[in-house]
Amino acid sequence: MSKIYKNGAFHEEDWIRVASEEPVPASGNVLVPLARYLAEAESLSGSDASIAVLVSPGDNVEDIVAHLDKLALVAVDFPKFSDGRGFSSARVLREEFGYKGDIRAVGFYILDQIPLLRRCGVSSFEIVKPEVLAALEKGEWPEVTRYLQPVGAVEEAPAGTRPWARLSLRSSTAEAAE
Amino acid sequence: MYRYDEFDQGFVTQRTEQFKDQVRRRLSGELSEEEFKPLRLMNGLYLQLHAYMLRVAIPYGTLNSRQMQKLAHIARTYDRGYGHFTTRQNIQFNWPSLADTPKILEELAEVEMHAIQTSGNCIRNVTADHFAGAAADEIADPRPYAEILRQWSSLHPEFSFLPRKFKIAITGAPHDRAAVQVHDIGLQLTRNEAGETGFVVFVGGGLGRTPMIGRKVRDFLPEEDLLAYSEAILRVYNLYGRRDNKYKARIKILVHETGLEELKADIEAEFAKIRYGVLRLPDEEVRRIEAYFAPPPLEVLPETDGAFEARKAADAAFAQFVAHNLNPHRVPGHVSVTISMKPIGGIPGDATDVQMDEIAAIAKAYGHDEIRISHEQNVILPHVKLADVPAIFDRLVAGGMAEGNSGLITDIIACPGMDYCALATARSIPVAQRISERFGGADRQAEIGELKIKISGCINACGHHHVGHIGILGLEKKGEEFYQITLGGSANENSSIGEIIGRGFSSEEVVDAIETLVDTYLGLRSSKEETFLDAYRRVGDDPFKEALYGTG
Ligand code: SF4
Repeated sequence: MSKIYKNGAFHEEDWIRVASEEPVPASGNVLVPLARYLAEAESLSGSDASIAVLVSPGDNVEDIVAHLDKLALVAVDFPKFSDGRGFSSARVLREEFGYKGDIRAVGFYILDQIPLLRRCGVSSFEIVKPEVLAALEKGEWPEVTRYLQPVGAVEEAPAGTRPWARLSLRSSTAEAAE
Repeated sequence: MYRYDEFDQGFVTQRTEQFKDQVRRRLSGELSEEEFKPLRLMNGLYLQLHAYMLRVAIPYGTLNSRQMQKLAHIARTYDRGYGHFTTRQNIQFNWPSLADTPKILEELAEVEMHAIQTSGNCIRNVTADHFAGAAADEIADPRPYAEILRQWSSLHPEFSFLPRKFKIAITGAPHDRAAVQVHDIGLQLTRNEAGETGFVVFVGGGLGRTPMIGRKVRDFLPEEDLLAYSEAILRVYNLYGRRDNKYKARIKILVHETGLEELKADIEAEFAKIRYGVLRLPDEEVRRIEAYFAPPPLEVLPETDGAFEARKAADAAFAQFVAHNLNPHRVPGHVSVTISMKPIGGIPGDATDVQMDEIAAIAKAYGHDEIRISHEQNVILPHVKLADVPAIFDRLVAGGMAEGNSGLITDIIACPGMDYCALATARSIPVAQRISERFGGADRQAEIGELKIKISGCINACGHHHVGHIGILGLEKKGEEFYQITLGGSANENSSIGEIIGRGFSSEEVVDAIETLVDTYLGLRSSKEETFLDAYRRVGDDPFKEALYGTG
């Protein structure tokens, strides 16, 4: 079971990652690499398992556009935190292709990237690093809540006359509560 | 200049808090050094040979006297009494302690300054023409656009973990003083036939190990599309730029390997998707930001001034200063003054706290409180009355900043090299100092005329040696430093990459070699008006090779 963080709460969820050659289990939650999904889309959609796609750095999310309405989850992998391709993949998926399902960050991203990922359209986080879990449990969300780039993924308040400036609604509710 | 509103002030204050917390987590071990590294770099904190180095952003090189005084204060309080102006119009402090950095950032935030994105694999400080808003040849002030780009690129959620660093430069004049063609994105302000403002866009310029001149991707990008188009370029780069080899990760390699036409098509396709979205710039907003950069009210004055002329006739040092360190101003009776940070035999770009305070005081007294840092590591007072130049000169003399050598052979750009930099293969500062001493005589420099020497202490080319008229690259072989010379580089509107002239020279020989090149030029130039670069472009490298190596 992995710990998943979503909408301010934690839960456990099981996803089996299958590699390119492994057999796909007949049931359960299965995460299939993008290339394999494309190659086997038809047989996979006949399976009783719930299928989600794993987007790795270097994958082009445009390739799965036609399948998005069948996918309840797309996972964006961060094998290395310093490889920022997943930020664009998530954002393109959410904003350009209008994907409505869950976009999950998986892999070795660091705490400071979580708020950025959220703004790029990531809606849930599989947590593998204990210090990230501990920080999120303490309610940490290390970001600057005044933004200078509008994004389409998260609702934010306009700030002043600059059309690119936004305020986090997170902070205004938090500040209002104080 | 731009003034922070409450939002901007809150932004830098919060950023400082965020960084403080990152330092805390590093010290407590929650963050590994590997994880902390990109975070501290994104806030300008480098680990150098002997200590941390903090690079403070001076957006497009513009600052006021209050900010300059703060930099002086930081040099005095947290460093060893000096700072170093860089080729990205920033300032670096070479000796702060890690523990002091949050405090320094707090002090900077008090005067609307920060260290955001002065290093790391993100969009760096946007640079602009240092005579912006003053130059006689300007189409429009590039700084409002630089400011808009600065804002959009600050803590960008999508582009904070790029394959490599990303540099943007913008010029508002046809004569390019911002070296836009050697940037990842270079923007040249222009007007179309309808008289509308827009940009010529270059992509994929850069120096480093594989120097390349930027390729033109747009003849005219409308003003309102500036951010959407930039975002399209960055998205394509973030997704497709190489990440397997840090030396092949800049966008110039992507341009080169993908091919210009294909990449251009990718950028245009991405642009088409987002062009009419939230990033489109409304005219009112551009005009509102432009208003921050409105020039100070300057009275139209006579083109000449009696006392100024008299002083010029009587004082050779003043005449030399006037000949080289003044730039024509758009308002008659005014000039922009270059304060040389290249004293003969000194360290290029270094300024003491006392000098910074004095520059601030002079700017207040005579320069409408405006100061610029040039990418040539000098300081500029953009708006000065011609009649005030003698008084300014006197104060500069007293402060040891009156060298009349702007654009001359002793106005050398040098990277920190082996004296500070952990990556260096050779020293660069001492070579600059020795060249400066060799050619430092006022008559000699004036006789040689415009000549840009640029020195890097390793192949990473921070000293921009590829675009020096004479470039010097410090390398190492069997434990010995040696210096490779390139000729014919340039970073203006006719950019070119210098060519290696032949085998390198030892540290002892290199200054003699430069002298041989200079003497060769003096012997073959068609007239005093033909600069070193023009002469080189006319005759090619044969005469210089012959002089250096003889023919076999
Ligand atoms: S060129 Fe090399 S030595 Fe010079 S500052 Fe850059 S990395 Fe350091």
